[in-house]
Amino acid sequence: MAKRKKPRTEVFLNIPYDKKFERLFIAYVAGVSAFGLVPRATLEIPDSSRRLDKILKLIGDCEYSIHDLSRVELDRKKPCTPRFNMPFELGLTVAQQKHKKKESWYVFESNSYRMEKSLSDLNGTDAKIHEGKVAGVFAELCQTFKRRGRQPTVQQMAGIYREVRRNQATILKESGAKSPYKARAFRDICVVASAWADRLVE
Amino acid sequence: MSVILDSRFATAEDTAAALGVSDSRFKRLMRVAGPKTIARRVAGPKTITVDFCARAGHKAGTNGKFKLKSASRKKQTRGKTKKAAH
Repeated sequence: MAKRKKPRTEVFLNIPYDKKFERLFIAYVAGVSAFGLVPRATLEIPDSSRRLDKILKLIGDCEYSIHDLSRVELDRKKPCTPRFNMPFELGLTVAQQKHKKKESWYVFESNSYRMEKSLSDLNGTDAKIHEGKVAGVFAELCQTFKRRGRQPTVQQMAGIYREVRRNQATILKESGAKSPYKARAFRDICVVASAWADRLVE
Repeated sequence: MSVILDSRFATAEDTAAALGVSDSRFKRLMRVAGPKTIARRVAGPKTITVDFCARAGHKAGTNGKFKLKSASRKKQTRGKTKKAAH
Protein backbone atom coordinates (compact mmCIF):
# COMPACT_ATOMS: atom_id res chain seq x y z
CA MET A 1 0.00 0.00 0.00
CA ALA A 2 1.33 3.40 -0.93
CA LYS A 3 2.40 5.59 1.98
CA ARG A 4 -0.11 8.37 2.53
CA LYS A 5 1.41 11.80 2.13
CA LYS A 6 1.08 14.24 5.00
CA PRO A 7 -1.03 17.25 4.11
CA ARG A 8 0.67 20.50 3.15
CA THR A 9 0.56 23.28 5.69
CA GLU A 10 -0.80 26.70 4.90
CA VAL A 11 0.23 29.93 6.60
CA PHE A 12 -2.05 32.94 6.78
CA LEU A 13 -0.13 36.16 6.12
CA ASN A 14 -1.74 39.17 7.76
CA ILE A 15 0.31 42.01 6.35
CA PRO A 16 -0.20 45.57 5.15
CA TYR A 17 -0.66 46.03 1.43
CA ASP A 18 1.32 49.15 0.67
CA LYS A 19 4.18 50.17 -1.57
CA LYS A 20 6.67 50.64 1.27
CA PHE A 21 6.01 47.13 2.52
CA GLU A 22 6.59 45.45 -0.85
CA ARG A 23 10.10 44.18 -0.07
CA LEU A 24 9.01 42.68 3.24
CA PHE A 25 5.93 41.17 1.58
CA ILE A 26 8.14 39.31 -0.90
CA ALA A 27 10.45 38.38 1.99
CA TYR A 28 7.54 36.79 3.88
CA VAL A 29 6.44 34.85 0.80
CA ALA A 30 10.03 33.70 0.12
CA GLY A 31 10.66 32.80 3.78
CA VAL A 32 7.41 30.88 4.24
CA SER A 33 7.93 29.04 0.93
CA ALA A 34 11.48 28.13 2.02
CA PHE A 35 9.96 26.12 4.87
CA GLY A 36 7.78 24.20 2.42
CA LEU A 37 4.67 26.04 3.59
CA VAL A 38 1.99 27.59 1.40
CA PRO A 39 1.40 31.34 1.94
CA ARG A 40 -2.22 32.50 1.98
CA ALA A 41 -3.55 36.04 2.25
CA THR A 42 -6.78 37.99 2.06
CA LEU A 43 -5.54 39.20 -1.35
CA GLU A 44 -7.04 36.04 -2.79
CA ILE A 45 -10.51 37.03 -1.64
CA PRO A 46 -12.47 39.18 -4.08
CA ASP A 47 -14.28 42.22 -2.71
CA SER A 48 -17.81 41.25 -1.90
CA SER A 49 -20.43 41.58 0.79
CA ARG A 50 -19.44 38.20 2.25
CA ARG A 51 -15.76 39.14 2.55
CA LEU A 52 -15.61 38.76 6.32
CA ASP A 53 -16.98 35.21 6.16
CA LYS A 54 -14.36 34.34 3.56
CA ILE A 55 -11.60 35.85 5.70
CA LEU A 56 -12.77 33.77 8.67
CA LYS A 57 -12.79 30.63 6.52
CA LEU A 58 -9.31 31.39 5.22
CA ILE A 59 -7.98 31.89 8.75
CA GLY A 60 -9.66 28.65 9.83
CA ASP A 61 -8.11 26.73 6.92
CA CYS A 62 -4.57 27.80 7.80
CA GLU A 63 -2.53 25.92 10.36
CA TYR A 64 -0.36 28.92 11.28
CA SER A 65 -0.72 32.65 10.95
CA ILE A 66 1.75 35.52 10.83
CA HIS A 67 0.56 38.99 11.77
CA ASP A 68 2.78 41.94 10.93
CA LEU A 69 1.88 44.98 13.00
CA SER A 70 4.83 47.07 11.87
CA ARG A 71 2.70 49.47 9.87
CA VAL A 72 -0.17 50.07 12.21
CA GLU A 73 0.09 53.80 11.80
CA LEU A 74 -1.79 56.79 10.45
CA ASP A 75 -2.51 56.75 6.75
CA ARG A 76 -1.21 59.73 4.72
CA LYS A 77 -4.38 60.00 2.68
CA LYS A 78 -7.03 62.26 4.17
CA PRO A 79 -8.89 61.61 6.37
CA CYS A 80 -5.90 60.33 8.37
CA THR A 81 -6.89 57.04 9.97
CA PRO A 82 -4.96 54.30 11.72
CA ARG A 83 -4.88 50.95 9.94
CA PHE A 84 -7.16 48.56 11.76
CA ASN A 85 -7.16 45.61 9.34
CA MET A 86 -4.11 43.85 10.75
CA PRO A 87 -5.08 44.07 14.45
CA PHE A 88 -8.66 43.15 13.52
CA GLU A 89 -7.57 40.01 11.67
CA LEU A 90 -5.21 39.18 14.53
CA GLY A 91 -8.20 39.41 16.89
CA LEU A 92 -10.25 37.12 14.65
CA THR A 93 -7.39 34.59 14.58
CA VAL A 94 -6.86 34.66 18.35
CA ALA A 95 -10.58 34.17 18.97
CA GLN A 96 -10.83 31.33 16.45
CA GLN A 97 -7.77 29.54 17.79
CA LYS A 98 -8.86 29.93 21.43
CA HIS A 99 -12.08 28.21 20.41
CA LYS A 100 -10.09 25.37 18.82
CA LYS A 101 -7.73 25.30 21.84
CA LYS A 102 -4.56 25.83 19.85
CA GLU A 103 -2.16 28.73 19.62
CA SER A 104 -0.21 29.00 16.42
CA TRP A 105 -0.24 32.70 15.65
CA TYR A 106 2.84 34.89 15.63
CA VAL A 107 3.13 38.65 15.82
CA PHE A 108 5.89 40.41 13.91
CA GLU A 109 6.86 44.02 14.58
CA SER A 110 9.60 46.38 13.46
CA ASN A 111 10.07 48.20 16.79
CA SER A 112 10.71 46.63 20.17
CA TYR A 113 8.15 47.40 22.87
CA ARG A 114 5.78 49.22 20.47
CA MET A 115 3.23 46.42 20.61
CA GLU A 116 3.08 46.74 24.40
CA LYS A 117 1.88 50.30 23.82
CA SER A 118 -0.31 49.85 20.76
CA LEU A 119 -1.88 46.52 21.74
CA SER A 120 -1.42 46.08 25.48
CA ASP A 121 -4.01 43.26 25.56
CA LEU A 122 -1.30 41.04 24.10
CA ASN A 123 1.15 41.72 26.94
CA GLY A 124 3.02 38.53 27.66
CA THR A 125 3.21 37.66 23.97
CA ASP A 126 6.68 38.08 22.53
CA ALA A 127 6.57 39.95 19.25
CA LYS A 128 9.20 38.98 16.71
CA ILE A 129 11.18 42.08 15.82
CA HIS A 130 12.41 42.25 12.22
CA GLU A 131 13.47 45.94 12.33
CA GLY A 132 11.85 46.53 8.94
CA LYS A 133 14.58 44.53 7.19
CA VAL A 134 14.33 41.60 4.81
CA ALA A 135 17.14 39.80 6.67
CA GLY A 136 15.27 40.45 9.91
CA VAL A 137 12.16 38.71 8.55
CA PHE A 138 14.25 35.68 7.52
CA ALA A 139 15.99 35.53 10.90
CA GLU A 140 12.70 35.69 12.80
CA LEU A 141 11.08 33.06 10.57
CA CYS A 142 14.06 30.81 11.31
CA GLN A 143 13.40 31.34 15.02
CA THR A 144 9.70 30.55 14.56
CA PHE A 145 9.73 27.44 12.38
CA LYS A 146 11.94 24.38 12.41
CA ARG A 147 11.77 21.54 9.97
CA ARG A 148 13.37 18.15 10.22
CA GLY A 149 15.28 17.38 7.07
CA ARG A 150 14.88 20.35 4.80
CA GLN A 151 15.70 23.19 7.20
CA PRO A 152 16.34 26.33 5.13
CA THR A 153 19.13 28.73 5.93
CA VAL A 154 18.86 32.51 5.83
CA GLN A 155 21.11 32.47 2.74
CA GLN A 156 18.75 30.07 0.95
CA MET A 157 15.80 32.28 1.85
CA ALA A 158 17.72 35.27 0.49
CA GLY A 159 18.37 33.29 -2.71
CA ILE A 160 14.64 32.63 -3.15
CA TYR A 161 13.91 36.30 -2.42
CA ARG A 162 16.42 37.42 -5.06
CA GLU A 163 14.96 35.11 -7.71
CA VAL A 164 11.40 36.23 -6.98
CA ARG A 165 12.46 39.87 -7.20
CA ARG A 166 14.24 39.13 -10.47
CA ASN A 167 11.06 37.61 -11.92
CA GLN A 168 8.68 40.12 -10.33
CA ALA A 169 8.52 42.47 -13.31
CA THR A 170 7.68 39.60 -15.70
CA ILE A 171 5.02 38.25 -13.34
CA LEU A 172 3.40 41.66 -12.90
CA LYS A 173 3.50 42.34 -16.64
CA GLU A 174 1.91 38.99 -17.47
CA SER A 175 -0.79 39.36 -14.83
CA GLY A 176 -1.50 42.96 -15.83
CA ALA A 177 -0.93 44.18 -12.30
CA LYS A 178 0.96 47.24 -11.14
CA SER A 179 1.69 45.88 -7.67
CA PRO A 180 2.09 42.41 -6.18
CA TYR A 181 -0.96 43.04 -4.00
CA LYS A 182 -3.33 41.63 -6.59
CA ALA A 183 -4.84 38.16 -6.41
CA ARG A 184 -3.25 36.77 -9.56
CA ALA A 185 0.15 38.39 -9.01
CA PHE A 186 0.19 37.05 -5.43
CA ARG A 187 -0.58 33.51 -6.62
CA ASP A 188 2.10 33.67 -9.31
CA ILE A 189 4.71 35.00 -6.89
CA CYS A 190 3.90 32.22 -4.42
CA VAL A 191 4.28 29.54 -7.11
CA VAL A 192 7.61 30.99 -8.32
CA ALA A 193 8.88 31.24 -4.72
CA SER A 194 7.85 27.66 -4.06
CA ALA A 195 9.57 26.45 -7.23
CA TRP A 196 12.80 28.13 -6.15
CA ALA A 197 12.44 26.80 -2.59
CA ASP A 198 12.10 23.29 -3.96
CA ARG A 199 15.27 23.86 -5.98
CA LEU A 200 17.43 25.65 -3.40
CA VAL A 201 16.49 24.12 -0.04
CA GLU A 202 18.02 20.70 0.47
CA MET B 1 9.30 29.02 21.03
CA SER B 2 9.80 27.24 17.72
CA VAL B 3 7.27 25.10 15.92
CA ILE B 4 8.59 21.84 14.55
CA LEU B 5 7.00 21.21 11.17
CA ASP B 6 6.29 17.61 10.31
CA SER B 7 4.11 18.24 7.28
CA ARG B 8 5.18 17.45 3.74
CA PHE B 9 7.41 20.07 2.08
CA ALA B 10 5.08 21.88 -0.30
CA THR B 11 6.36 21.79 -3.85
CA ALA B 12 5.42 24.28 -6.56
CA GLU B 13 2.66 21.89 -7.69
CA ASP B 14 1.22 21.82 -4.17
CA THR B 15 1.30 25.61 -3.92
CA ALA B 16 -0.33 25.98 -7.34
CA ALA B 17 -3.04 23.49 -6.37
CA ALA B 18 -3.68 25.23 -3.03
CA LEU B 19 -3.93 28.64 -4.66
CA GLY B 20 -5.95 27.50 -7.65
CA VAL B 21 -3.43 28.25 -10.39
CA SER B 22 -4.38 26.70 -13.75
CA ASP B 23 -2.15 24.09 -15.40
CA SER B 24 -1.23 26.29 -18.36
CA ARG B 25 -0.32 29.19 -16.08
CA PHE B 26 1.67 26.83 -13.88
CA LYS B 27 3.71 25.64 -16.87
CA ARG B 28 4.39 29.24 -17.88
CA LEU B 29 5.47 30.11 -14.32
CA MET B 30 7.84 27.17 -14.27
CA ARG B 31 9.48 28.58 -17.37
CA VAL B 32 9.66 32.02 -15.76
CA ALA B 33 11.19 30.49 -12.64
CA GLY B 34 13.69 28.52 -14.70
CA PRO B 35 17.42 28.99 -14.31
CA LYS B 36 18.91 32.13 -15.73
CA THR B 37 19.46 32.08 -19.46
CA ILE B 38 22.28 34.33 -20.46
CA ALA B 39 21.98 35.46 -24.05
CA ARG B 40 25.02 34.59 -26.11
CA ARG B 41 26.71 37.79 -27.10
CA VAL B 42 28.57 37.81 -30.35
CA ALA B 43 31.89 39.46 -29.69
CA GLY B 44 32.91 42.01 -32.23
CA PRO B 45 35.27 44.93 -32.43
CA LYS B 46 34.18 48.04 -30.61
CA THR B 47 32.96 50.70 -32.96
CA ILE B 48 32.00 54.27 -32.45
CA THR B 49 29.61 56.21 -34.58
CA VAL B 50 30.36 59.77 -35.53
CA ASP B 51 27.69 62.33 -36.27
CA PHE B 52 28.55 62.75 -39.91
CA CYS B 53 30.83 61.09 -42.41
CA ALA B 54 32.68 64.17 -43.46
CA ARG B 55 35.27 63.70 -40.75
CA ALA B 56 38.79 64.30 -41.91
CA GLY B 57 40.79 61.19 -42.63
CA HIS B 58 37.96 58.68 -42.51
CA LYS B 59 37.85 55.78 -44.91
CA ALA B 60 35.29 55.84 -47.62
CA GLY B 61 32.38 53.44 -47.11
CA THR B 62 32.71 53.18 -43.31
CA ASN B 63 29.32 54.79 -42.97
CA GLY B 64 30.45 56.92 -40.09
CA LYS B 65 31.72 54.01 -38.01
CA PHE B 66 35.29 53.71 -36.82
CA LYS B 67 36.89 50.73 -35.25
CA LEU B 68 38.69 51.65 -32.05
CA LYS B 69 42.42 51.09 -32.19
CA SER B 70 42.33 49.29 -28.85
CA ALA B 71 39.83 46.82 -30.27
CA SER B 72 41.70 46.06 -33.47
CA ARG B 73 43.48 42.74 -33.38
CA LYS B 74 46.90 42.15 -34.73
CA LYS B 75 47.06 39.16 -36.96
CA GLN B 76 49.01 36.46 -35.17
CA THR B 77 51.41 34.42 -37.20
CA ARG B 78 53.56 31.71 -35.74
CA GLY B 79 56.28 29.31 -36.67
CA LYS B 80 56.78 28.44 -40.30
CA THR B 81 54.05 30.79 -41.42
CA LYS B 82 55.84 33.65 -39.67
CA LYS B 83 59.16 32.77 -41.28
CA ALA B 84 57.50 32.49 -44.65
CA ALA B 85 55.89 35.83 -44.13
CA HIS B 86 59.23 37.43 -43.45
